[in-house]
Amino acid sequence: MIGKIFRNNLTSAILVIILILLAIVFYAAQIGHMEGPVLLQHLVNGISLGSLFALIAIGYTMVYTILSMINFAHSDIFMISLYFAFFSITVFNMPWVLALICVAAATPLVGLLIERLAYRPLRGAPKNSVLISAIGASFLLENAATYLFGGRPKAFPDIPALTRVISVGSVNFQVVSIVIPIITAAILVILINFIHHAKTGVAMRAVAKDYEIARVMGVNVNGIISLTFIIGSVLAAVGGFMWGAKYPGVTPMMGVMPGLKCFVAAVVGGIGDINGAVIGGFILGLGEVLIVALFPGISGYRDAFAFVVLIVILLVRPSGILGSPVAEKV
Amino acid sequence: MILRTENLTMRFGGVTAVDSLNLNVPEGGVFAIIGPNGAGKTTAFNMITGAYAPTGGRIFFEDKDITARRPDAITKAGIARTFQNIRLFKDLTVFENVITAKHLHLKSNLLQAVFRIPGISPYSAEERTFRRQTDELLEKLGLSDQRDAISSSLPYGRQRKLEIARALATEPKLLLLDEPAAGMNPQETEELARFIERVRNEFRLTILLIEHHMDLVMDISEYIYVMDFGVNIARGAPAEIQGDPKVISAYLGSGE
Amino acid sequence: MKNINGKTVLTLGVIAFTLILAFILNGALDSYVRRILNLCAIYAIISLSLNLVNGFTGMFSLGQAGFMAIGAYAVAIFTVPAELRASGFYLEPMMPLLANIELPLIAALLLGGLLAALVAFVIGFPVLRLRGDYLAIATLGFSEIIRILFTNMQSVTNGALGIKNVPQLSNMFLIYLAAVITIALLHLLLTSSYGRALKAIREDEIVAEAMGINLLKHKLAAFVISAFFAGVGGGLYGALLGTVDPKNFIFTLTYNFVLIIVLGGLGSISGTVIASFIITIGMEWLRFFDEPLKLFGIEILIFRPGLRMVVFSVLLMVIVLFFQKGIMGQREISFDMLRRIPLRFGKRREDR
Repeated sequence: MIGKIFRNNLTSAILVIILILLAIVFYAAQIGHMEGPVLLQHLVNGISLGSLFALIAIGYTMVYTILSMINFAHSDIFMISLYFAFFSITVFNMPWVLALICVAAATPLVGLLIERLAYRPLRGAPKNSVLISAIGASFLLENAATYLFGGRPKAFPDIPALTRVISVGSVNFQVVSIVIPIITAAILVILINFIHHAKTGVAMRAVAKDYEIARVMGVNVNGIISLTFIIGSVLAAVGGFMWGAKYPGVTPMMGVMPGLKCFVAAVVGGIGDINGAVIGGFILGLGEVLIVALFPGISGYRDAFAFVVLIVILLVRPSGILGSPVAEKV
Repeated sequence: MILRTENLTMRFGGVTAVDSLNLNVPEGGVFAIIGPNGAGKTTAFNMITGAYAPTGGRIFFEDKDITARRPDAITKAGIARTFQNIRLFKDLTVFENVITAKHLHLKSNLLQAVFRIPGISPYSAEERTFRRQTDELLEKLGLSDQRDAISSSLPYGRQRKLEIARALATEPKLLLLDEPAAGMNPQETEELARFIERVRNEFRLTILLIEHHMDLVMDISEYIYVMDFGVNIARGAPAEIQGDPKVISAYLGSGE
Repeated sequence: MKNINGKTVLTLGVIAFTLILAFILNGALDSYVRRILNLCAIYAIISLSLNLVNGFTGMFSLGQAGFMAIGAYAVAIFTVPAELRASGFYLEPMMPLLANIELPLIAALLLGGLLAALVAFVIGFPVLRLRGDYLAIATLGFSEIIRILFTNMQSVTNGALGIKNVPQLSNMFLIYLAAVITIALLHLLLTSSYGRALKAIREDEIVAEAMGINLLKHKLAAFVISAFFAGVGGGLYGALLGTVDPKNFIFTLTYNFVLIIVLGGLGSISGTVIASFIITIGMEWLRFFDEPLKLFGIEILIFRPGLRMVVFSVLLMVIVLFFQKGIMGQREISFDMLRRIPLRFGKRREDR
């Protein structure tokens, strides 16, 4: 029921969620005697982390909609993009904007390769086989990265244009924290317009509904699936780049936790819905940052927050905030 | 009345698949629901067997309200079903398919089943009974010659039979058959008709079936419900249905 | 039981032979080989537990590392001699409630198994009602949460420092006894009516439910039993290592068992046992990949740390993509099969 109200008016839904979060924050801040500017700073951080989560979550939700599978390797595509960024800046001395473009162009190749080698041969195979293949692909990428780049963390190069701290009043934040939400919003607008209006976008939705039927109707199903992986990878690459600028430390296993959280974000928002992925991303990002800020005592458990949210949502509303319950085919 | 529905309704989004269906099925005998494709017959079955929770109305089985109960609870209460597109446990043998359906009668708990020490645990005795009953059932239905064959290797007609055997193993009082003659030629259909009658008589149960084959329906059923676009447009004995202009137009109108 | 037939005698004979062999080898082998063979048996226990859920019931769990951690910590917390504990817990002393409780290994193993089962029940209840692949994510997440909890509960688990001085277990007889018991119990479960119900769920959930099988109850039972054995296996693992710390139980540990059950065959006990030996010994043998290698005086550059895991993950992909059924598929090794009597299309099946 709540979902219906939400779905009818997405903007109001987001507003309501933000308002609820704000109310919690101000209430908690009063108890914790937190100063306004400090709080605002946490909010900025939370929103930018939420935007990053959203970018990655969109990739999960798109693949899940079309192939009904969890693309476990998505988190490692994100990780690989960070290494790409690292090398293009440190080894090839690219200016950061050029590096961003190159990374966004190179990462989809990895996504395409995985789809081609690990997923396409198993189309129509039992679900568990596909899942194992996805896990295998993810594990392979992690091990390959460890082998090629070493297990020790590499420091993501400092990009002054992004990491510069600006002060508004007594609130200090990095440029990147503002850039991330802007980029996410821009990408979201483009993507949603594409899916709902462009011819290819419509074909994409057809494939998501039933790819056998879409094939009969003359849709190039393989092309659409490839495109889905390309879009997902580009978003992961952009997210990865910004992630690196904000949290500099690149390791082969670094994709795992963000990846899990972003899949959870997609489920929380309602899998199959891009807006849902964004809402889920924000809930997890903001929630995580605020929990750490408000209750430093339990900051060791920050990574557990996403899974607690997952269990709660699965109990209360299994199809996610924006998802509609699907009747199983009998 | 063994089965009764009151204003049974199912809506999917804006589509009303079944609209206020009232069934009254007395004990014993063969009853049929007919109607063109998409008339809502299978949806009605799915609601009766608990696969879908109806959006409106109630279902009574032996005067107990079973609306929206879980499928396994409904089977335990005494309703068994087959599926439109045969759904056997494909990798299991004929025997395993049928004995699996005995599981709901098992009284031993998990520990008794694992630590099946004769004399202490009742499990072994129960298992022997299941095996005997399963073999008897296969014998009765003429499937014992292929007892240990993998079920998906059986010819089509026998797969149908096996599916019915599996449903019978749950010891139902009411058996729902979803298009049992689908894909059969006239001769096979004729054999099936005799088979269904035999099952009804030997197992003393009530059968409710969905069918497209009018010959089969007219042949074996004593009372027929006709559905079109989710609505029950006619009901009565085969002779009454055959002459009903509403039924004829429903079938002609949909191109059947 | 009137018909104690030849097969029962043979089975008992094989069990006795295995245990006697383990007992003899225990004295005869050097500690390195013994350790690897012990690891094989422990991996077999844990892989079997995973196969019960993923192969026999058709669900997909990735939580084994977490359940193992519970078992391993139960052993580590309760079997370290009380007087040795204070020296390990130097950042924060051990919780007084626990500091003086000492349990024998067997009791600690069972406790670990039961705790893992309890956790599985709590997780499984909400998650098992949902579509299958959510279970994969939820269990993976939980396995990480468990690790995070153990990293943070300084006064119980000694946090990231881990617990050292766990009395080391290297007795092959004990470990193989545990493996034999696991195999026997799972065999009895899977050949019972409950086992048939689980397989029915794997084959087709909707039909299984229509045949009167309560999905949630049976899935939950499989999941909880699986967690129990994973907990016991984890306890043995901890005792074998002698040190238990959270880093041992990163979720990628679970991938080892995924590889084993895929190689052995999803839904085959004997396949799982065979694959446990192949993979464990193979991984040990593959260690040379991680060592620098000189051929004809030239150093081969690709041989350096990390290559072994790359090979390992490529192997997993190759099996999934090209040998989906693994070694055994869903079949089992039986005496009939070993005798190669061409009765396979004929009359008798395994247990009559």
